[in-house]
Amino acid sequence: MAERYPEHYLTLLLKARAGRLTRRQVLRWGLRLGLSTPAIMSLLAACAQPEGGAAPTPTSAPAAGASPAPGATSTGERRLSENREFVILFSGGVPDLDPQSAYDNQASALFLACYEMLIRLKGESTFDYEPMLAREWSHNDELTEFTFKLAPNAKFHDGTPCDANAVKASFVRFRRMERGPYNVISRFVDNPEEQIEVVDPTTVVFKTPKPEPLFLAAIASEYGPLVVSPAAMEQHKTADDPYAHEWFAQNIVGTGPYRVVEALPQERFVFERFPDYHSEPPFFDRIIARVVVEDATRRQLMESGEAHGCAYIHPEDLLAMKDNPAFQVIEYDTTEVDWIRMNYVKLNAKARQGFAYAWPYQEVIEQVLRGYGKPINGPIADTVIGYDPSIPTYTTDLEKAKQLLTEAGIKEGDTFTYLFASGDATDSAMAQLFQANLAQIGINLELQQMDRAAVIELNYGDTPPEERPHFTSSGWWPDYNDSWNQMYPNFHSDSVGSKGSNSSFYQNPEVDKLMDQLKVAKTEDEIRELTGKIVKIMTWDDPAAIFYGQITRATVLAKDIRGFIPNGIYIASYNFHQMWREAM
Amino acid sequence: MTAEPRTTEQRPLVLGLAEREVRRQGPLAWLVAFARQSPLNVLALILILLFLFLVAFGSALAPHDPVKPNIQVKLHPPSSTYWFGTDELGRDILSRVMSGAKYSLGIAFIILSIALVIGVLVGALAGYLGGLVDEVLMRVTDLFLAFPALILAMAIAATLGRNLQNVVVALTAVYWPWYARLVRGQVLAVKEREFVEAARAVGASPGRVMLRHILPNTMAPVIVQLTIDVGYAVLATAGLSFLGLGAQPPLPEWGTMIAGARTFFREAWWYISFPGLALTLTVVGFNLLGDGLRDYFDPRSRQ
Amino acid sequence: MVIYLIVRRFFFLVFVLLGLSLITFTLSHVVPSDPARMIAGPRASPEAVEKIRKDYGLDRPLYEQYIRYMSGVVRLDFGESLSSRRPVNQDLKRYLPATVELTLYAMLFAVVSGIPLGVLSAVKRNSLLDAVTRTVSVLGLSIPSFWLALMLQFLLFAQLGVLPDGQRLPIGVKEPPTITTLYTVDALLSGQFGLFLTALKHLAMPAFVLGFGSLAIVTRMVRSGMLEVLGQDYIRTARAKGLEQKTVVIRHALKNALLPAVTVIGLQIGLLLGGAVLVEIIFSWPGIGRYAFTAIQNFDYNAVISVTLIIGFAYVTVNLLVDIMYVLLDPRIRVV
Repeated sequence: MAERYPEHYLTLLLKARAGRLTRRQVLRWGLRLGLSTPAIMSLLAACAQPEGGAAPTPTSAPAAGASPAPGATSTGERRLSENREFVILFSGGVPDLDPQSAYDNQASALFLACYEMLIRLKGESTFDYEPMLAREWSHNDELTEFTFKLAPNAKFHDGTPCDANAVKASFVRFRRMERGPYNVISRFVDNPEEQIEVVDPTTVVFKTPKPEPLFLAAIASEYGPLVVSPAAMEQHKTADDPYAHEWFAQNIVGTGPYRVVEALPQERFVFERFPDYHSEPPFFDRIIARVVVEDATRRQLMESGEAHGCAYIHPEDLLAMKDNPAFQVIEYDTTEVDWIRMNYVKLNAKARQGFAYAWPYQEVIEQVLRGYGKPINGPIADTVIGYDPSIPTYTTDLEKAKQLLTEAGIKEGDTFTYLFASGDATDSAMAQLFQANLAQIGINLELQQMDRAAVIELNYGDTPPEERPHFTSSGWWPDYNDSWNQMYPNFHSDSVGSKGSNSSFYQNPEVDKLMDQLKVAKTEDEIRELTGKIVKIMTWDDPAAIFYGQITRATVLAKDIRGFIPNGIYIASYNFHQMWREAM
Repeated sequence: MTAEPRTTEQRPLVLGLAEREVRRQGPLAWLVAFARQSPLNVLALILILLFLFLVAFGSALAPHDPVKPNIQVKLHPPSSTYWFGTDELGRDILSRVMSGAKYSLGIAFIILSIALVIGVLVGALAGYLGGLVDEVLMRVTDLFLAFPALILAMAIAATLGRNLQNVVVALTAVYWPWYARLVRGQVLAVKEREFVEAARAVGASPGRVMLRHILPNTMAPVIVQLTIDVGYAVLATAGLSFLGLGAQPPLPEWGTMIAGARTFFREAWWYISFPGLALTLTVVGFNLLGDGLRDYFDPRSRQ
Repeated sequence: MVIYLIVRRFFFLVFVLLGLSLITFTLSHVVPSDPARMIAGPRASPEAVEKIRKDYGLDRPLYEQYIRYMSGVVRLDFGESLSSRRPVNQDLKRYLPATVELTLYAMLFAVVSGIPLGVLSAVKRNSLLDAVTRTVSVLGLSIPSFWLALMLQFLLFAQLGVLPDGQRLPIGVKEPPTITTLYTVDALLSGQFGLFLTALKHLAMPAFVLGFGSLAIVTRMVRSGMLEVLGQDYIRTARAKGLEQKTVVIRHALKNALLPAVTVIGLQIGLLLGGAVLVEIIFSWPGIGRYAFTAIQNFDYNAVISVTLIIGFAYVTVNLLVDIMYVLLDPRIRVV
């Protein structure tokens, strides 16, 4: 029995640290297990909150009111449910499961169950971090060397250890494969073989040639810097596919708390608890992610109790579900700004200003988004570093719109085209309101609905700007909390057409110059100043898009789900490892 | 349902009698005779006249603007101002249903006209010329028949782009083979009959024989089939629009309206109910008319 | 006779499959679109897209892609689905049984309720029952399936909560072991009666909606067939001989009236297989109709062509079976 103490001790310690045990529980379990007094004292110290505290926090993270009162008894003891299955709903399929290639937020929501970054954003914060695969991290004062201490017992799902060498190999793959989100790493690491150093089996160091204040932010992104098994890569690589991307697109071998047992990309994903997980085992035994394309069906599945979580519910349904005691609707501010791109080649500055005045701002926020959004003065959300509150926001003014459009040489009866992805009731309603506003000043707006695939093709393919629509509905949020990362792919002339996401061919030399300076900015003040200048140009002087709202997202959970913490960067994702279900 | 048209009874109709009656009596008198045959025929005529009336005057008579949003009154339940309630943009659903008739029904007419022209051309050629021409044309026809209709239509509409013109192309591709087959069968049956032989004997040119003597005598079953198909074509058009492949917002096409209502139907029953009801009643009208015509033309059912 | 029919139909089948594949292939490749971009995802670099294009052979000339694809099809290899990243074969294996099960139950419903309704309505012509039956059958042909599906979902699921809103089984319920691939049958075979009932409950609404149109058609066919037969001399003779009404109807009339119904039922099965798209979409039914719809939206060529071929194949085969049955049932008929 004596040898078993350390193991129990470790489990208790982890649980205590994670805030899952109260002091009283620790005391009881510690005594029952016959631990020594010093050991019990150290466990008690690890408990997050004092006994009998007003609102016991469910997790190690400061979940400032994010999750409603967790299901604890008056003594702070958790009443854990017997039902250890968690079912979430997606709105579309996830065809690419390679975390260093896939670049959409449903994929990354899945990845947070089975893959891990070195560090992750802490709680709701967008610039504080907490351990994930790395237990500790530090950097030098110059911000050119970043050291990560890995969990010593970390293992991949294939049984191979996840040591410093594996981490390095994974980052080399991420950088060298140059797929999907690789800009997240290439901005800082151009030569991964040299820049990443393995110090000892649990220590890895990233070195950058110049100070990089945003390196930690990028490394905590859910797009790309996840660690995949190099052993699996070696085993499945081919001459044509040296990084085994084809294999990783369909298989998952990470270090996360769950391993995949079934992956049907257009239908469902089933995860089971990974027994060799390096940290405290998560509450849920199984996680099922189900692809349900129809808005109405997602709501129905939540109502029938078959599904327990969904981040893709239409605003109108959210309002109804908020009144239903069977659900918690957790709303959170994001870094996402939605906008209507205006074709830079086909519309001059005056015309773009005119159209910006014709947008039904208030109606969209209040009646279409139903309050799940707020006015914004440009592409940078107020949660992102660099946001400048002094820049004014547009309001609808049809007289002014008409005047500007006339000055721009647009006549009554002219027709413009507006593209949006089919199947989205919100998009369709906005488009029709804009159409009606323009109709009032004699301008025709032709709505073009296309499948998501076709929209992607048209936006990011080789179609010349002259053949693109005048208006395209879209939106974006940064990979990490950084204004440059938000704007560069969308509005820099390097990123036009198929070279990035600048699908409206916005090319303003001044903006380009300022963005290049912003990329290497060293201080927060510098970032603020440069971002402000760029945003002012892109909103007012030479508008790039109609920036109509900073989006508020909502995740709907069954009423007994606890421990969920939303994050404005990890949009529509879940912190599976901290979540649990209360017995009711 | 949807794009699959027939498989209703396909027995060849024995004609001539009824047709001559129409010619003798004049259309109005014939209508009266037709209506007298069954109360269902009366119902069919009423429904069809109603919807044809809406096709012509629905937009003009609509009490509110069917397209312009008025978001302050969104999802308003039926009331004395908005008899059928309003949709998510505050538009009057009654007005939208009324002006939608010309899209839902009008498109069906266009589809069937084109399908008919192609079908008659192919069927007549195949039936009249026979031999290799017949074989080739009919195998191509069979090929199109073997195509899963809705999937063919979806593929065409998705490929060419989402709008009503492409729905016309897609559904024409689905419907013409049925007419080709029907007409061919009729031509085969008629071309050996005495009056055709007689016309040939007096030296009428093949074209003249075809146009004056054969085709007119193949038309009755085609007309019956057309009547029934109007209903199916309306359903198919609405089905494609429901999938987002047909009419685009803000057009008040009924299928598009039902698709739009899907997100809101839990909170607003009226939004999904009325366009669906209009759709159903239109199709009921044409189905009843088709049945009535078949019975009327079919001497066996006139005992 | 039957042999000749089969040989002839076989050649026709080959012709149809070639034609279908050619049309679908052309259709899906004239799309001014780039599946490589789709696979790469919205934020991918142009190099990545170019690489994928090469990897998947999408940079080859069209005819070469077609020949490559068809040479696979001959070996029953339908290529890889671009959106699910799995062999289309695997996808079909998964989604086809769902459609088959749904279609079978829809037909079962249509036949089991359609034949008695048709018979009764013919025997009791012009009665109240007849009127009701005829109304139902007109409605069956007229109600848009997608609208009916949504209304039933609203009523039976959202309001009354008596039936599930869709899918084959609730999320998280383990599927029965694969024996026939039909959940209801497999559940029974493996002795899981509860699971059988659950699967049946999930089938109820979609099968009803899908089968409603066929029910109408079957009813009409049987009714008109019966009316015709009942009016014929030998039935009158049988009646005159004093045979009981029931015997006349069942032994003589029904047998003869069923023949045309058999054709229609066969044709319906072929049509339903391809016609289930809307019902599958609304009821989240994981069948091939829904699969094809997703594939069309994603420019997933291989998947679209494969589904078209499978349904075309089924359609022609079912037609052939119907013809054979016809020849066997009624020796007077000569099929040309």
